Amino acid sequence: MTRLWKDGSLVQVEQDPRGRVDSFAWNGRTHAVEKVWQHWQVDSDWWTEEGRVHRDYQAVTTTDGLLCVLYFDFQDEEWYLSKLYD
Amino acid sequence: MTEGYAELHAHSYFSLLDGASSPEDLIRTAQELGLSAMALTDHNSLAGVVRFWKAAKEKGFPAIFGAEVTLADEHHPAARGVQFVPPEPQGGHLTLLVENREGYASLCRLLSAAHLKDTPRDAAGAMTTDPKEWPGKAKPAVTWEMLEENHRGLLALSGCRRGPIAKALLDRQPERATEAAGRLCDLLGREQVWIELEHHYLPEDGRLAASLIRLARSLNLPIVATNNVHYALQSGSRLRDALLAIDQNMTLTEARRAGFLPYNSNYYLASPQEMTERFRSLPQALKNTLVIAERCEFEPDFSSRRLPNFQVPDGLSEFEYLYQLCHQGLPKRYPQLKPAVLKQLAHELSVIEQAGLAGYFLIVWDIVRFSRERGIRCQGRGSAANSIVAYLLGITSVDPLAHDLLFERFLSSDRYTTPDIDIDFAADRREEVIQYVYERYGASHTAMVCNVVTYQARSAVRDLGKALGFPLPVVDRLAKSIDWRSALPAADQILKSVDGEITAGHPLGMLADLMRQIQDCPRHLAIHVGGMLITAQPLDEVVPLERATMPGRVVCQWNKDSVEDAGLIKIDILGLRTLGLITEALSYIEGAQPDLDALPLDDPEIYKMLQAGDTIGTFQVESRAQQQMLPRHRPEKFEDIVVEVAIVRPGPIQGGAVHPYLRRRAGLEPVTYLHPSLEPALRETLGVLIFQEQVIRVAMVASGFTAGEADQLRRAMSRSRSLEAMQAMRDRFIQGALANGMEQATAEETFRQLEGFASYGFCKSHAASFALIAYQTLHLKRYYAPEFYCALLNQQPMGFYSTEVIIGDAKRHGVELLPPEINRSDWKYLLERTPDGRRALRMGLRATLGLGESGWERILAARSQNNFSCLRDFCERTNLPQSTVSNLIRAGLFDAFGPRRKLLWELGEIDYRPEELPLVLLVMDVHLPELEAGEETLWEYELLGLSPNGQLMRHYRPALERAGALSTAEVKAQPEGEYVRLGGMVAVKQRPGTAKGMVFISLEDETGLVDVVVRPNVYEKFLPLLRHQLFVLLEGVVQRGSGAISVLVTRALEFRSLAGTIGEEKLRPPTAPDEYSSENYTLPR
Repeated sequence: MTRLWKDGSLVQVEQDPRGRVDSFAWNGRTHAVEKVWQHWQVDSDWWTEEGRVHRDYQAVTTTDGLLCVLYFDFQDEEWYLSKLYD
Repeated sequence: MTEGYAELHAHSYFSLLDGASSPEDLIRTAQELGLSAMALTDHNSLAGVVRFWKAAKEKGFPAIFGAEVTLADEHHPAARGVQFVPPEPQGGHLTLLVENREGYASLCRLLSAAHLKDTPRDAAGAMTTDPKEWPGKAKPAVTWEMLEENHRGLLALSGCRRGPIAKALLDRQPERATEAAGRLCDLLGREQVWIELEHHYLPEDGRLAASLIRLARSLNLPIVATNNVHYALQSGSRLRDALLAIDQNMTLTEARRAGFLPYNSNYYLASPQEMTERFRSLPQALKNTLVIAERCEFEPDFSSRRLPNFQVPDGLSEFEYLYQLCHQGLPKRYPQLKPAVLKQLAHELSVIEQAGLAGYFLIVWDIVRFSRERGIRCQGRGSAANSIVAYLLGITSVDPLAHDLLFERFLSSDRYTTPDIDIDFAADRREEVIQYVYERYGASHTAMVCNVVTYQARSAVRDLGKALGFPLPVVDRLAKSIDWRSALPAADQILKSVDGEITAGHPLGMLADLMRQIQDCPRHLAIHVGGMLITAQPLDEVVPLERATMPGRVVCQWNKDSVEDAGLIKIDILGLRTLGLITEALSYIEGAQPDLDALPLDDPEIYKMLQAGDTIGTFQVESRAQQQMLPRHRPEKFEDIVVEVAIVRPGPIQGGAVHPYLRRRAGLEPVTYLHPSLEPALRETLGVLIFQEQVIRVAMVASGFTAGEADQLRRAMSRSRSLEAMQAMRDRFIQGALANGMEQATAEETFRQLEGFASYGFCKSHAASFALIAYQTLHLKRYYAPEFYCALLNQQPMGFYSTEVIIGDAKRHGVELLPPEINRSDWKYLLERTPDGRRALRMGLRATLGLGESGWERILAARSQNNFSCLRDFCERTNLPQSTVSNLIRAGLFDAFGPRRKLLWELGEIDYRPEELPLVLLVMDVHLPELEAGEETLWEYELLGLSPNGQLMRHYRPALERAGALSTAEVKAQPEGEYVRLGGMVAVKQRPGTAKGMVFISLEDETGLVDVVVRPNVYEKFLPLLRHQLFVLLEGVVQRGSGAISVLVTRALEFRSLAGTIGEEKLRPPTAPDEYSSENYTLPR
C-alpha cells in the first residue's frame, strides 16, 4: 500500500555534491539510496493564504527496496518524506 | 569544467503577457552571468528587437535575433473549423533564429504573414475597411506553407514542450515527432535544424530529453540546450505567473488549476555553470549554443536605403529639385532677401545633401502640397520648424531666422541621425492625408507606427488585483483610490493604506510587490497617434506588420523610439482639432476672409487678451495654469507667447524655472548666469533654461561640444539611459567645462540643471509653431467671436473646457446662445441672425441625449418638406419613439408649441404608430402645475449637458447668499488677503504630478469662473467634500498674485446642508475625475 503524507514526514538526508539524495534517516533507520529516478521542482501557490509551495522533489529507490519520494522544502530548509510506495 | 553557454531562447516582456523582463534587463543579467551571447525570441514578435540590439551594442554583448513562432496546428479543432475548442493554445511552438540579413527579412515576412493571415481583401487586393468584415487583432499562426516561402537564412530549434516534436514525444507518439522533424529538415535544410533540449526540473524532463536525444541520433540532427527564459531573475517568476493569469482572464488559482501556470520558477537566465550542471552528461548541447551563436553573428543595418526614391522632374536629382523648390519659395517667404537667409539656406542644404535626406524633405513637401491643394489646413510642428528649408517648402510656418531658432536641434552636420518632421493636419481630414501616403508609396512600403501601451497604476491594480483573486468591488475601490499615474508610487500608496505591519503573504503586500515589477511592462500594441513609416525596402522585410483594431489599418511592431533607433524615418501625420476649428471658423466669415498666415504679430488687442487671461477656447494658452500665468507674465510680443507656451510645462516647473523667470522679467531680481559663458545661450530667457535648444547651446558654449554631440546629450537626458551612459556624458561635459575655465562646482550645477530640465522641456521651434496657432485662434476670438465660438463648439471635444464653460465664455463676450428649437436647429451649432442684426449661436441637436444621428436624419427629412406645426405633426411625420420625443420636449425643443409639462401630457395622448391611420383622441384639458424652480434647468442639464437659459448655480444663489457665500464675480472684486466663502460648480479639477499634491479647481457659477487652490493637507482633511463632488462650498483667502486671482482654500463645507437642493442629486456624479490628470471633466451626459 502506498503511504502518502500530506505535509511530509521529517527526515534527515545526506546528499552528494550535486545535491542528489545519498541516504536518508527515517523512523530511526538509515536508508541508502540506490538510484534517483526523477528529480523535479515545484514553485506554486505563492499567492494563496496557505502559502507558497516551493520544493525540490526526488523519487528514489533504496538499497533495502523502498521506492519513495522525498522533498526539500526551500522555505523551512528541511527534508521530508512525501510518499512511500510499498 | 564549466562550458561556455549562449542562451538561444529568451522572452522579454514583448512576449506580451508571457515575459516579465525588459530586453535591457535580459542583456544586463546575461552579461553579469558571463553568457557568451543571447537571442531574443519573443512570441511572434520583433517588437523588442531594437531595444535588445541597442542595449547589447551599448554593452558590447553579442545579440541574436529570433522569435518563437506559433505554428498553425492542422490537428487542432479550430483548424478544422470547429468553433468551440478547449482553452488551450493553438498549434505548437518553434524557435527561429536569424543567421544573416536574408534570415532577418525572412523572419519579418513570416511574422507579417502569420499576423495578416485571413485578412479580408477586395478584388484589387486592398484590405477591407468595412468594420463588419474586419477581424481586428488575431492570434498569429504560421503555416508550413508560410515557412516554406520564408525560411532562407533562418535556423530552427525544435522548440519547447509545446513544439511539434517535444509535444508528440510527451504524447508518446514518436512517429509523429519523427515526421515533424523530417518536415522541418525538408523545409529548412538539415544543417539548419537543431533538436532543442530544456531542463527546468519538471517531472518529465528526463524522459523527454532521452526521447529527444534518441530522435536526434536517429535523424543525425545536432542537439542544443536552452532554458526557454521568461524572466531575467528567478524573482520575476511571480510577475510572469500573474501575467499568464491575466492573459487568460483568470485568477492565479484558476490559471494554475487549468494548467496555464508553469510548475516552477526555473525559467530564468541560468549561468553557464548552472547549465553545465543541468546538462552534465550532454556537453555537446552546450557547445552547440556557441556554434549557433557564431553562425548568427549578424549586424543589422536597417537604415540602408531607408526611404523610397522621390519622383523628380527629368534631368534633376532629388537634391537639385529640393534646391530648386527652396529657391522658388524665397520670394514669398523673404520678399527682402538678406545675405543671412542665403547663408543659412546654403548651410542647411549642404547638411541635407551630405546626410542624404533630400528625398525625405521632398516626401514631406509633397504631403503638405497635397494637403493644401485639397484645402486641408496643416502646419509643421516640432524641431522641423528650426529649419529654413522646411519654412521655404511651406512645411512649417515660423521663420527660423526671425525667431533665432537653432537648426542643429533638427539636424547637424556631425550627426546624421533621423530628423523628425511632425505635421498637424485638421483632425477631421487627416485620414485623407494618410490614404494619400498609402496610395503614393504603396501599402507594402507604408505602415503606421505602433504605440506600446504599458501598465500604469490603475490598469496594474485592476489586472493584478483580479489575478490575485481580490473581489471585483475591492479591485474597483482600490483602483479609484490611486492618486498616481505611475505604478511605482501607487504601490507605496497601497502599502501606506494598510494599518499595521505587512506580512510576507499579505495580499496588498503581494499586489504592491507585483505593481513595482509591472511598471513599464507592455500590455498590448496600439496605433501611434500619427507616426507613419515609409521605407524603400518592402516594409515586411524591415519590421513585422500586424492588423490593427481599426478596419483596413496595419501597424508595424515598432514604436516611434524603435523606429528612430533603427535609423528609419517616420513622418508624424497628426490630427489637430484646432486646425479644423480655424478652417470651420473661416468658412463662417461673411465677406473677405482674413489671411491668418500673414497676420502681423504685434496686434495690441491680442496682447491685451493675453494679459487679462482671456483665452478660453484658444490654442495652448487656455488652460487654468496658463490663465494663472498670463496676468503675471504679461506677454507683449510674439516671443513672449513662445515663452508662455513653453514655460507652463512640467520641465520648467520642476526645474524651478518659472518663478525666477517671472521675477527677473518683473525686475524683482537681477538677471544672473551660472557662468558668464552661458549668457549668449540664455540671454533671451533672462538666464533661465526654458527651451530644449538651450541645452544644446549651453553644452556647446560651456563644454565645447559639437552641435551633434550636444544634441546627443540632450537626447540622452530626455530618454531613459543607463546610469553608466549618463555618467560618461556627465564626465565629458564637466571635463569640457573645466577646460573652458568653469569651476568644478559650477560645471556640476550646470549639468544638474540641464539634466533636470531636458526630460520635459519644449523645443523652441515647437513652441513657436504652437504660438503661431495660438495667435491665430486669439485673432479669431477677438475679431470673429460668433464664428470662432460656433466652430469651437462644433469641434468639441477638444481643449481644456467643457461645452458649458465655453458657452459661458461666449456669453461674456456678447455672443448670444439660442436654445435648440425643433424647426430651427441643425445637427451642429449654427449661426443665426438676431433681430438686432447680430450673429447668435443656435444650439444644435447633436447634444441631445438619446436622439442619435438616425433620429436627426428622420427629423431633417420631414422638416425639409415643411416645418412642424405642432407636436402631433412632429410625431406623425417622424415616427420617433415616444421616449425620444419626451426627451426633446423636456430639453425644450418644443417650447414654441407650449409649456413642457403640458406637451408631455399631450404626448401621452397622441397615437402615431407607424403604418396605421392616425387615431385622433380627444386631448383632455387638464390643469397642470408649473414646473418647480430649476426643474427645467435640471432637465436641460440631464439631456443637453447644459442649460441654454443660464447656469445651474443661479438657482442656488438665494440660499448661497443666505449662507454668506459670494459669487465668483464678487470674489474677484475682493482685495488680497480677504477671507471669503464661495460656492460653485467644479468646471475643471487637476492634481498635476508636478504640483506636490496641490489640487487646482476652476469653479464656475452664473457670473463666471474663479480658480481655487487646495493644499494637500486641506484636501485630505476635507476629502469627502471635495473628491468626486460636482458642487462645492469653500472658504479661503483671496490671492492676487501679479494680477492672477485665486482663492487659497482653508475649509470645505457641506454644500447641500447650507445651499439646499433643487434636486440636482438626480444628476449622476462626475465620471471618474482623474485627479492627477490634466484632463478636465464635465457634467455627465
